[in-house]
Amino acid sequence: MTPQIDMRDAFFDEIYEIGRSDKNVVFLTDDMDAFSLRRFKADMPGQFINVNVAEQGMINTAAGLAMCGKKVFAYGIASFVTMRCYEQIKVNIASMRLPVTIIGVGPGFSFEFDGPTHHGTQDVAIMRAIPEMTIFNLSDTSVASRAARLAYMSEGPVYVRLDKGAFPILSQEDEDFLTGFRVVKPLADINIVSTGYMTPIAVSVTEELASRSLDVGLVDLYRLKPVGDLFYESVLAVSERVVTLEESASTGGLGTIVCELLADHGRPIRVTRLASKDKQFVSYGRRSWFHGQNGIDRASVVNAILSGK
Amino acid sequence: MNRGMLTQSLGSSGITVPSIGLGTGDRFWDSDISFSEKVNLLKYGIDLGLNFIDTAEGYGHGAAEQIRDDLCAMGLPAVIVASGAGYMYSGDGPTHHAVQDVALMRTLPNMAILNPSDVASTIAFVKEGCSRRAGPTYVRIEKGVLGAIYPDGHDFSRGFSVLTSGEDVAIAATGIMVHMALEAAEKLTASGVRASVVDVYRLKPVDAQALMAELSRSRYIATLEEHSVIGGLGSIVSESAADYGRATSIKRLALPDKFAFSYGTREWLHAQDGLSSELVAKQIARWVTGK
Amino acid sequence: MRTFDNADRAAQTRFLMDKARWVRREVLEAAATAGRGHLGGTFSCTDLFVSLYYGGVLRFDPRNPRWPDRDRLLVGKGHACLALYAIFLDLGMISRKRYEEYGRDGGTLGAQLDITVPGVEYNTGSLGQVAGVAAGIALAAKMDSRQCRAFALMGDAELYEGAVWEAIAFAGEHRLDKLVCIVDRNRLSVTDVVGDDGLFKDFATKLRAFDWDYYEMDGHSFPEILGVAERLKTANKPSMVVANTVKGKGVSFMENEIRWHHAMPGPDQLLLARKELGQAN
Repeated sequence: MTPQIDMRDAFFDEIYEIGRSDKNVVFLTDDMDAFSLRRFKADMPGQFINVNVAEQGMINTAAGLAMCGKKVFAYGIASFVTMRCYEQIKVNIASMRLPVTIIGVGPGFSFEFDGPTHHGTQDVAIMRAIPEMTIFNLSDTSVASRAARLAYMSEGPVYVRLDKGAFPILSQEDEDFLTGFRVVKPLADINIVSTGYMTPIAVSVTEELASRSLDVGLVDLYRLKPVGDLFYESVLAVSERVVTLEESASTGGLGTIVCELLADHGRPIRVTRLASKDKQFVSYGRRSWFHGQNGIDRASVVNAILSGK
Repeated sequence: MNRGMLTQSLGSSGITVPSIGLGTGDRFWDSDISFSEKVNLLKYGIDLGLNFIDTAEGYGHGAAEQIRDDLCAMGLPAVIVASGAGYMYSGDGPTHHAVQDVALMRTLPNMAILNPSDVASTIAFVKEGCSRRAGPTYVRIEKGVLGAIYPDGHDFSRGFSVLTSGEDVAIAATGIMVHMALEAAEKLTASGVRASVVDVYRLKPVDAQALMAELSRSRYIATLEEHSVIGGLGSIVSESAADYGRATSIKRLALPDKFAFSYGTREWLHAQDGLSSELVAKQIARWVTGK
Repeated sequence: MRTFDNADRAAQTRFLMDKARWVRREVLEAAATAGRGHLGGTFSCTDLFVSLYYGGVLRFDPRNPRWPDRDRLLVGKGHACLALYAIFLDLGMISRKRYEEYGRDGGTLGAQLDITVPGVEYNTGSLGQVAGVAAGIALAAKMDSRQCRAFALMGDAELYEGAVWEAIAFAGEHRLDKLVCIVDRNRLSVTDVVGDDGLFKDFATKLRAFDWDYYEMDGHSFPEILGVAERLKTANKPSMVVANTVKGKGVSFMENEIRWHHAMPGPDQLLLARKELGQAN
C-alpha cells in the first residue's frame, strides 16, 4: 500500500473484501457516496442499501439486521450519524451490544465550506459517553484498512471516524493495531499525543522542533475508546509533560481522555491541551485556515510547545 | 422581552413566565411541519416572549442535533428544563437514565448547564435561564423534596459554592449528590478526615481557574455526580486541574460506563454503584489515609 | 399450548377471553403489590398480546425462545410489560420467583422490558423505535428468504415519533412483507386525546400511499383479531394493523379515563376491579 491511496479507498477496499467473503455483511448508507463504495454496490447489490437521508431509520434498520446475525456497516457524515441518531445508537445498538459499525466521514473541519452543521467536532465526546462503544479515529491508510477488519471482527458496536485524502503511513511493518496507540516518534520527556488528522501535522511539528534542537516524542492514539492501562503505563507514566493535539472541541475529546487518566492515576505532570475551541464556527475556509483560527496549526503548536505553556 | 405575550407567575416562585410553555416531546420534534418551519416557529415564538420550554432527557438525545444547530448556532435564548436526571426514573431501565446528558450538553457551544441542588437554586436557575441572552440554558431538575441549602436571593453568579470547609479533602459535587456529599463529609470529619464540600452547580461555563484555586486548598480532590464517569463533573475537574496547574490525583465518583439493567429505588441503584454517603465516606477515607 | 381447529372457534374465543381475564388479574395484582404500573395502557393491549401468544398468531416456541426462525415481537409501548410478564410466567419462560421481583430493589423485571427476559426482543423505553428495528429484522428475513416475521406493537401516540415514519417509508419502498405493525389505538396519550383529525386522519389512505396494506379491527374481539391475523399470512407488503381499543379495558371505572395511564387504584377501587376481573365467563 502506498501513501498515495485515499483513506476512504483503503477503508472501503477492505470492506469490499470483507463483504465478498461474508454474505452476512450488509452496508447501509444514508445517501452518502464514496467512489470506492461503488464497486461494493455494483458487485454485491444484495448487500448494499441506501436508506436515503434518514439517520435514525438507518440505525434502527442496522439494529434489526444485526439482531438477525448480519454484520452491519452504517455510513454517514460524522456530525449527523452520531448526534441526529444518538438515542438510536445508545438504546438500539449499544444497550443490546449489537455488532454494528458506524462510519462517520468528515471529522473535524474536513467539510470546509458547509458550515457548522457539518463540523465533526463534538462526535468524539458524545460517542465516548456511550457504554460498549469502541471508537477508531483513523490517521493513515494502514490503520484504516486494519480498523475495517477489527470493526468487522468486533462483537460489539464500533464507531469509525473516516477522513478524506492521502496520508503518509505512520506505522512499522509489524504493527498489530491491538493496543489502540502507536509510537510514531520515540518517547521523550515531552510527548505529543495526537489523533486522526492531527497526527501527520504532529509529525511535522516534531520535525520542526527537532530542527530547533528539541526532541519530543509522538504517540498516535487511533483508538479513543477503550483506552487501556497500557497507554497510561507506556506513555503518560513516563512523560514529564504531555501535549494533546486534536481537531475535536476541548469539551470531551482526546485532551479530556488524557486528563482523566492522569487524574485517575494521580500523576501531576504538565498538560497542554490543544483542541478546537468550544465555539460554533459559522465560517467557511480551508481546513488549515480553521486550524489557524483554533491555534492547532503547525506553527501555533510549535509555539505552544516551545513557550512551555 | 415581552411583546404582548400573556404571562403568569410560576407557582409561588415569583418568576414570571409566559402563559404558554413549549413542550418538546414527540409532537414538537416530529410534528408534520418542515424542519425550517419548526426553527422559524421557535424563533418567532421566542421573539414574542416564549422562553419556557419543557422537555425530558430522552427528548434531548434525539433532538440534540436540532438543539445544537437551531438553538446554539443561532444563539436563541431558550431554557431547556430537563426532569429525570441520573437514575430518577429508577424502575424504568437504562432508556430512562439521564447519565450522559451533561457530556452531551457540554459539547454545545453557548449552552449553559445548571444543576440545582435545592429549591432556591432551582428557581434561581430557571430565572437565570429566562434572562440569559448569550444562548440557551439546560437546567437539570429534581423531583421530590431535597433539603434546603441556599437562602432565597443567594448570589449564584460564581458558578460554585463552598458549603463546608475542610483541608484534607475537597469534594466537588453537583445536583442531588451535593446532599450525599454533605452527609459523607460529616461522616469523614467525625472519623478525622476534614472534608470540604463544593457545590458545582454551573457545569458550563465553568470558571476553571477559580474552581481549581478553591479545590486546591485541600490536599485531595474528589468529585461526586449522578452521571457517567465519562464527560461530567469528574472530567471537567480533571481538565481544569491540568489546565490550571498540575494534573493531580482526583477521585472521580460517578456512575460507571455501563448500562444499568437493574430496577429498584434510586438509592438502591446508587448503592449498587458504590454511592451512598457511607460508601463514599469509606472510599474517600481509605484513599486519603492510605488504609 | 392449546390449539383449536376452525370448527372450534367459539371454544377458542372462550379460552382466549378467560386467558385475557387472567392476565388482567395478574397485571392488577402485580401493580398493586409493587405500587407501580401502567394499567390503562396495559389493559388496552392485553387482548392483542393474548391473541399473539395463545391464538397461534406468533410462530413461537416458549421452550425455545431464541429459535432462529421464530416470529419476533418488538414492543414499542414497553410500559405494558406487566401483561407480558404474566404471559411469560404462564408459558413457563420465567419463574414465579423472577415474576415476583417486579418492583423490588434489584429485581430483574423492570417497568420496561429488557432482553435478559426470555422472549423479549428489544430494550424498551424509547418510543418510536420498534417500527424501524422490526423493519431491519424483516429486511434480514427477506434477504435470507426466511419465513419469520417481525411484529412491532406500538401505542397510537407513539406514531408521532418521526423515526416511525422513516421506517414506514423504508418498509414500503423495500416491500418488507414480513413486517407487521400493530397500533394499540386507545385514543388517549398520557396527557391528551389522540383524536381522529390529526395524524390519524385518513390513516388508511396515508399508509396505502406508502405501499402498505392496511387493516382495522376491534382490538378486543378475538374473532376479528384472528381473522385479520389469518389475512396477514399472505401479505406481500408490510402491514399496518390498527386495533381500536379502550384504554383501561376490563375495569369499568378505568375505561377511557386518561388518569389510569399510571394511576394506582385505592383499596375500594382495587376490590371493585378484582370483582370485575374475577367474573368467569
